[in-house]
Amino acid sequence: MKEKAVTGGFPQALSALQGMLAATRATDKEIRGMMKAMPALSSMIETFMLEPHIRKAGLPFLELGSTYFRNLGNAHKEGKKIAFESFNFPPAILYALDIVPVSPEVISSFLSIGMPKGVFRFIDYTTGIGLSETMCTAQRGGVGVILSGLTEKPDMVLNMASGSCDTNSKMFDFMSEYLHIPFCNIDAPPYWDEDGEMIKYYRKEYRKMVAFLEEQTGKKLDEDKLRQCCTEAKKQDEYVAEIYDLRRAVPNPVPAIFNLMMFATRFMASGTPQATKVMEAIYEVAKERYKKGEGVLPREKARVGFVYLSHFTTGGEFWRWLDHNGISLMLEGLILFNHQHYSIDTSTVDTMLDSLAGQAHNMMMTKQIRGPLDFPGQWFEDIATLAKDLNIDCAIYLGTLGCKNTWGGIKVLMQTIEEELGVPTLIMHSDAWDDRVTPWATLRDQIEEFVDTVVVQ
Amino acid sequence: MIVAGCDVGSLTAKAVIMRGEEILAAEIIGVRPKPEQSARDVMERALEKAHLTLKDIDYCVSTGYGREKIPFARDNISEISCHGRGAHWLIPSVRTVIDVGGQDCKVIRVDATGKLQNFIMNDKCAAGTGRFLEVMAKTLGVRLDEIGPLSLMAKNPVGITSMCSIYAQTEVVAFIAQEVDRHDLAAGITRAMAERVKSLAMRVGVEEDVVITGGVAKNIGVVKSLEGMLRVTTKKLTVDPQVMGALGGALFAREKIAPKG
Amino acid sequence: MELLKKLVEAAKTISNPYVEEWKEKGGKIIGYSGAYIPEEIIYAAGMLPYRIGGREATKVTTADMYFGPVTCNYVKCLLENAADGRFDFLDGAIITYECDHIRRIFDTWRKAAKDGNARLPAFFEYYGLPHSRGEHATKLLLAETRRLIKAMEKHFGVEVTEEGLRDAIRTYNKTRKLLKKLYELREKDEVPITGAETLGVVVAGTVMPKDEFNKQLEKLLGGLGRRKGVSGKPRLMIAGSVNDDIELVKLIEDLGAVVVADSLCFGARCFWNTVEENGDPLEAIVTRYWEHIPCPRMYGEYSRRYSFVKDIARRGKVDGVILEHIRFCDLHATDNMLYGRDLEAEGIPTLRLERQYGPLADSGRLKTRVQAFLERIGK
Repeated sequence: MKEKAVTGGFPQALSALQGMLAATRATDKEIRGMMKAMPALSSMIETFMLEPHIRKAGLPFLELGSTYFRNLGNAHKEGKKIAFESFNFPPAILYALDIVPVSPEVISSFLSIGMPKGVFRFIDYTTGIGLSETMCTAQRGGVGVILSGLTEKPDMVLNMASGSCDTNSKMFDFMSEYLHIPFCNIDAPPYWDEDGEMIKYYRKEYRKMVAFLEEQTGKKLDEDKLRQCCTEAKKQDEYVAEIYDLRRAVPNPVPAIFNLMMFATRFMASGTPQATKVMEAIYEVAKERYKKGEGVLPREKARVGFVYLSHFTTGGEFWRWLDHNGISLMLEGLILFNHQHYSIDTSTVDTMLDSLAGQAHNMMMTKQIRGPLDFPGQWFEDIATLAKDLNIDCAIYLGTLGCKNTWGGIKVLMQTIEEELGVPTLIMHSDAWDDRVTPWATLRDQIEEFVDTVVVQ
Repeated sequence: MIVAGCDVGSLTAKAVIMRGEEILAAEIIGVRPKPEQSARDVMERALEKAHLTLKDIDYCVSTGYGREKIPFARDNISEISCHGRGAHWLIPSVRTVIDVGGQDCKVIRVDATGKLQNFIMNDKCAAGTGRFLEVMAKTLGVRLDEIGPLSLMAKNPVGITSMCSIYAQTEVVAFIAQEVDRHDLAAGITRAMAERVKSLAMRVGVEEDVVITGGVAKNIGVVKSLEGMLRVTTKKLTVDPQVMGALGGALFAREKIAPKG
Repeated sequence: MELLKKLVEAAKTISNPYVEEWKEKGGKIIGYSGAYIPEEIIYAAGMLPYRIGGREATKVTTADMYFGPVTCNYVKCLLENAADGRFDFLDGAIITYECDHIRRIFDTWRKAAKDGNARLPAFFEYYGLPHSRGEHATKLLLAETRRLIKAMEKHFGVEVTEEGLRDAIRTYNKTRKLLKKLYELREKDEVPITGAETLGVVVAGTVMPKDEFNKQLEKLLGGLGRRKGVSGKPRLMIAGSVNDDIELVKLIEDLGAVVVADSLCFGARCFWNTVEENGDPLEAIVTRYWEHIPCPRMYGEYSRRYSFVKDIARRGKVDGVILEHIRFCDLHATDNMLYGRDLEAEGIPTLRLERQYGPLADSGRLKTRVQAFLERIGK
């Protein structure tokens, strides 16, 4: 029983949309008209295009998304290999080697926002072939799409979730076995450090991956191309640092959806000029708003640290609701790029590989949930540092029921946050990519009640 | 040679008495506090119908949740094998039996001889079982047996997305407040039910011919919805679908006395 | 068999006569979380290695204060045992990153102790495991093992010498060989020891001094040679999530089967490989633990695991394989899906069983499924 094509028209629709908007310089009225005419994409439009300040960055972001899916569709035609890889990895190195990345989490997230029922049927598809329903919906959605034959088949599997997440890693392990394609494990060591034995281990794992990629493609890493990618990655890191500083302001001028755009851009296209454009746009808008003292509407009543995920399901309502209900999204687990713990040195191939390894080693999830909660550089330390720096009022855990690692430690983390930081906390039983578990309406009411009764004085 | 099958579930108890190829009696009752009592009572009814006494039964096989506690059963066999066997005997072309009961849901694959090949069971979650329909019927304010016919007249079935019955209930309440048409609601309910069953069935694969057994087989809305989703036309039973397990038990009892080949 | 009975009894509870005797003599006991922790270093330090288990826990109410709704119940039972005081005899505990569930015990146990809900052993260490095999991984693990040894030496005022390690290796290799002999007996047409009894023996071995265990194993092997075996029942293999609960195997066997083989970590996987007795002893130990039949936590190693499972299934001449996993155990659930696919393709029937561990254990559900499976394999 094959699922009917869903993403078949998705990249084309994105391109058409982008073309139309660029050509018409659409007014708000026109955008609303478009939403009516293209109901299947209406929530994409509403989330990324409706409000003028969002649109400025949303447009280049959707272009990037469109490029990503188009590349996926054209990869084999153009003689390129497709790497099935984890989202929490900056793929600059893949672009340097002309490899097309596909991350199941990117697919799950885009479709969760853009399609009326998100990725529900694709999640169910994976259960249908025998995978446990307890696995993470972030992967299951995208995997369901790929295994139903709606995208090109990947040629290799790169697991960068090793060390931070069993469930994610196991899905990748499975894909390699199921599709009979080669597998490479890129392992984050059991502890974290900035410049010691741990990063040294990771650099070896990284180089092991590069050797694997060279073998798979039959191509050697080109120094110039690598330098181009690293240079772009460096520019992107500079924007990350600037945007981080802007975040400190009261009110926080960075709209909630910009966080998604930032990390999605990094996951999809780190090291590419197109990604730099998105970061630039995000920065420009945030800077403008900072100058004007603009923030969430009607006014900032709470500065919330989402210690792990946001909520992706159906329609992008999560981010819009925060922005219009006075809640500033100060931080979420996925934007912790930890740029201060590494730097990009473009001098030689070796320094560049070490830099990219450093960037990957410090990516969110990879960095802070690989070891015990209170160890150096781990979850509690990261949250505590950011909570103080960003003046956070409360901590909320939104996750997915598939996340065994964080669910195993979240109660201890939140209890510690309350005891040591004096900040109220809330743990939600939700699934970021599957609204059927707990509907958004219920979550929204709970968050609102928490903020209004516990947080707002 | 007279044989019997006795199926003691968590909600109902069933008994079937057979002589040769003939079904002499088939009875269903609500369970008593103890499985042994349920078995005795339903068996008594069946015996009465057949004008027999317990002594006349040459072999009885028990099945179901309470199968180990039936004193007059010589042997017990899983309800999975029994459902498969019973359905296959009635319709020899059957290869997939989808049993949707009050508290659980099973999908059973049998081979050409009716032997069990593979199976899957959901007995933890209310969604996809008769329990879901019961809760929804109450919420909707209709009788359980009205849901099916109501759903067939829907013009715009609603989408109930929640996996959990509790949240689904909330969704239905919200729809009622919006004065959504009862038919559309009923259709949304039967569709949600069928989705869950289909999801389970996918895990063992569905091979035709397919037959639906269990209490929910009587709900025409769920049956039609499921047929649409699986793209099959299910075979219809001439016997009450609820007694399939007990029938299978009787057939196994027959084999115990006179083994095949 | 009295000897067998005594071993099986010792496996049913957390504390046991061997542990008590050890404590009475003033000995120290170090708990450890799983099969990746090199027991030999604890033995070489003159202390008793004790594999912590979830058995005996009758509730998980304290564990639920610290763990989320998707945590493996075995791990919750571990914490509950700590909360109920069953692990109070431990002088130390070493927790490792075998899986995302068990690694959080390191955080939750400490917090529970801080809150006054459990006693934390005086020596409480984390043993960091990588995931990739290769020279640099073994080096990392070697460094980590040296760190652990130093911490033990410092805390307990003991010394782990090269000779001590060699001695430990010899003793442990003997255990491994004896257990392998025991498992070979189960390959016979007349099986002299049931699956439940075997699990009892294996578990007992993880919670008593190895020297004593070796003596008992030798006697047991002799006794079993004379014991009348079980035959004429379907022969089953069990593979999957951790299990120290004899009742699970008993449930399966009571339905009319005999379990003759396994690929479990309280089972064949934890003793099948021996330590190299030449060369540097610590390197040999670390290499063996790192390279042994891998747990599903080792990604990209499915074919190694499957070869083992297939080999064991054939040696046992099994009629079917039960692929069980504890709910939320994604590592085994995923592997089991692949094993099911591959074993069935080779004509070996399989049953996939998702189960709950410990309190609220769902025996009715399990019985129905296992019985149906036995009916399916037609024996």
